[in-house]
Amino acid sequence: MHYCKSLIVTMSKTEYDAIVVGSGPNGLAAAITLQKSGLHVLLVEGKSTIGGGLRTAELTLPGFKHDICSAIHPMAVASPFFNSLPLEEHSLEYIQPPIALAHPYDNGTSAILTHSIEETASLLGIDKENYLSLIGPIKKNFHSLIPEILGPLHIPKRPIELAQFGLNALQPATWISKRFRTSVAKGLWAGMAAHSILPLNKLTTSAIGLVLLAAGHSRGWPIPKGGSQQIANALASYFTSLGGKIETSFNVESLAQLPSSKAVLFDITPRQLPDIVFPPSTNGNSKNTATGWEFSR
Amino acid sequence: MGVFKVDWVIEGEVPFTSPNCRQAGTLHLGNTFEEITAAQQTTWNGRSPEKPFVLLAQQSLFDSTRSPTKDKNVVWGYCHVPNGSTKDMTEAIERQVERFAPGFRERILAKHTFNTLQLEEHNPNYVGGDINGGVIDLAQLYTRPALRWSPYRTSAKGLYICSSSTPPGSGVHGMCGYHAAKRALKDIFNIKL
Repeated sequence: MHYCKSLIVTMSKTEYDAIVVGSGPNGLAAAITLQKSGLHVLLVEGKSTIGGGLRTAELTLPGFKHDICSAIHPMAVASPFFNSLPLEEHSLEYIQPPIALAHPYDNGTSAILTHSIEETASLLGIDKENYLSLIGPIKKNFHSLIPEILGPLHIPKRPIELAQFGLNALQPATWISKRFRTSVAKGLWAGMAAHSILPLNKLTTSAIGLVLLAAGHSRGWPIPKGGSQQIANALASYFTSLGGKIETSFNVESLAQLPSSKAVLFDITPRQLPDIVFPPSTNGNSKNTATGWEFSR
Repeated sequence: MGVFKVDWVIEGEVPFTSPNCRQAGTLHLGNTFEEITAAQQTTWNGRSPEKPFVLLAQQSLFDSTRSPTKDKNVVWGYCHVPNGSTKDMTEAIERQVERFAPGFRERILAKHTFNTLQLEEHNPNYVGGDINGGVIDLAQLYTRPALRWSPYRTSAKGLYICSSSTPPGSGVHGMCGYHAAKRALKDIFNIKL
C-alpha cells in the first residue's frame, strides 16, 4: 500500500521527522512535544487560520471579537502539559472573572462557583456540608489527580485518591444528585454534569461535573485576554520559536499530498482518517468498522 | 449530540435579575435539575427541547479587548441539539436568556448563528456538531477511539491519532496531543519522555 511505502522507504532520509495534521489544541500540543524532543516537525492546517476549536473572529460587527467554539478554559489552566510551557512569554494572559459561574433560578436567586469552596458551599443552605464532602477531597488532591484523570488508561501513581474520585466519577449524575436536598444544589450539579453532552442518567456523567467544580475552586474558569485564539497563537509562537514549521490552507485529503516523514499524527476524528489513508472510502456507515468508534447517536 | 451556537453584540450588559450573574464569566441557564435533565434526555432522544439548557459567556465584561466600545458587549451562547440537527434554536435560546434577564432581547444589536452542519464546515472534527469528538460513555471513556493497548496508534505503523477522540477526551488541555506524541516518540524514534 502506498502509505507504507512512503513511510518505510524513506526511513533513512525524510523531509520531516514527523508531520502533524490539524492545528487544534491537541495538534499544537503534539507538534510542540515532538519538536521539543529534537525532531524536525511540520504542522499542517486545512483552514486559513490555526487553532481548530480555539479560533476567535469578528463574526458580527467590525471590532467585536467572538470565540467561535471554546470560550472558558478551566482545563487549559489545569493542564499539566500547558503548564509546563512558557506561554506567558508568548503573550498568553488569562483573566479570572470575579465569579467563575452563576446558575440563576426562576425566583431571582442564583448558585455561584467561585475560587472559595466555602463561599460556593455556604450559598447551598443545608447542602453546604454535602457539597464540601463531595468536592472537598477532589479540590484537595486536584494537582495530583489531574495528571491521572487527563491520561490514557494506565497504572495509577495515586491509586487511593484516584479510586476515591472514580467511585463518584463513574456514577450517573442522577445518583450523585440524590446526595443533595435543595433544588439550588441539585440545579448547580445538573448544569455541571450536562457538560458531558449526555443524558444525566448515563454512567460517567459525574466525572466531568466533579472535575469542573474542583477546577473552579483550584485554578479557576478563566478567559484568555483577546480570545481563545490567543491560546492557539501562543502555542504556535512557542512551536515556531523551537524551529517548528506551520503551513495553513493545506487541506489533507490523501497521505500522498504530505512531504515524506517517519510519523504522521492526526488531530482529526477516527471517522475522517480512513478517507485519508484509503481514499476513497467505501464505508458510509456511521459506525466506523475500522475503529469501532461511535458518533451519531 | 451536537450544539447550536449564537453570538450576539448587545447594548450595555445582559440585564440579569440576580446581581451575581453580572459578575460571572459563565452562566448555566436551565433552572432546576429536573428541567436540565429533561432537556438533555429530549435531545438525546433526537428532538429539540423547548426549554434547552443554555451555556452563556460574557467575555467583554472582563476583557476590554473584545469590544471596540465599553457600552457594547459580546455574548456567547449555545445549547445542545440532536446530532446533525439543522433546526434554528435562536428563539428558544433567547427565550431562556430573557427568562433570567428580562429585557435582553431589546438590547441585541447584531447576532450570528451556527447550526451543527455550519459548525462542522468550520471545523470538520465537529462531526454533526459534536464538540466532544464522540460519545463519552463508559465504554468509550478510556478506550477512545478503539479498544487496543495504545489508543493513539492506528493499525498502520507510523500513523497516530492525537485528537480529542483519544483519551482523555474533549476539552482544551492538549493532553491527547501530548500523550499521542509521547507514544510516537517511543515507537518510532526510540525517545522515552
